[in-house]
Amino acid sequence: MMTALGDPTRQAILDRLSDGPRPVGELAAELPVSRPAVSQHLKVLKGVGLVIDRQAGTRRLYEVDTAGLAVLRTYLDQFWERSLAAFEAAAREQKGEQDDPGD
Amino acid sequence: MIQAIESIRRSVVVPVAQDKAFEVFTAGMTGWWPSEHHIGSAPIEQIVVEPREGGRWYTRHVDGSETSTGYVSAWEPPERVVVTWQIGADWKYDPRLVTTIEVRFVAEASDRTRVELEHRDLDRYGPEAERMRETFGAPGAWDSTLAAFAGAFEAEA
Repeated sequence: MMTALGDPTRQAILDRLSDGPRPVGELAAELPVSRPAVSQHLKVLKGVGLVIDRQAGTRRLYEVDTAGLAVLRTYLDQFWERSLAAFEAAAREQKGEQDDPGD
Repeated sequence: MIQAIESIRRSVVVPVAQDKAFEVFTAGMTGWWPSEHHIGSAPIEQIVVEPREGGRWYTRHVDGSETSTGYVSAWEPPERVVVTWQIGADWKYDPRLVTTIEVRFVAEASDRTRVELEHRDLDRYGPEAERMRETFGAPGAWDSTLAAFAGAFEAEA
């Protein structure tokens, strides 16, 4: 599979969407490509699960799918929980060495 | 800018003075960092946080190789250190990806320090989602890989 981000326009679209949901017209106005081209790129991004869309009144808004990010965040959160617990143990050990007159 | 993903905030209280807590966290990182958690091809020999603003945060491996984690963006012993974490979702150093870890050391008593950690700018992983997919092959594989990582830490504990 060709990577969805192998294309600089798709990368630019995703960068803009990471600032918040946008309609296709706004994206096209900011990028040096046509509106149909932006729509095509959004379709690809949606197809690989990077972007989701929803209807907001008369407009369709596109946004980054944060589900993947949520998993990453959970992982990092657990990582820091474990790491800080280990850090605390290391600090306690230092304390023990200081308190031990025979050390 | 909309924060698509919340910062991670964690704190821990350690029974040592503020300067000691700072020293163990930074100079003594090799002693507490989960040994499985590295991106090199060989086990960790030493984790180095160079003690200055602009210093490197890197790991030296037992085979002599080095892997970067990020840079020191604020060095204010014994109160505060800020480092960048530039490990992509594919577990490789990515100079273009900059997330931030700020650690504050708050003296609660002469022998007690509260250490507050914030890992922020995680929304910068947004454009990485595709690479997460590539690395782990299929949706769902990521979860099981994370579980394997988590299991490795548990086995060690």
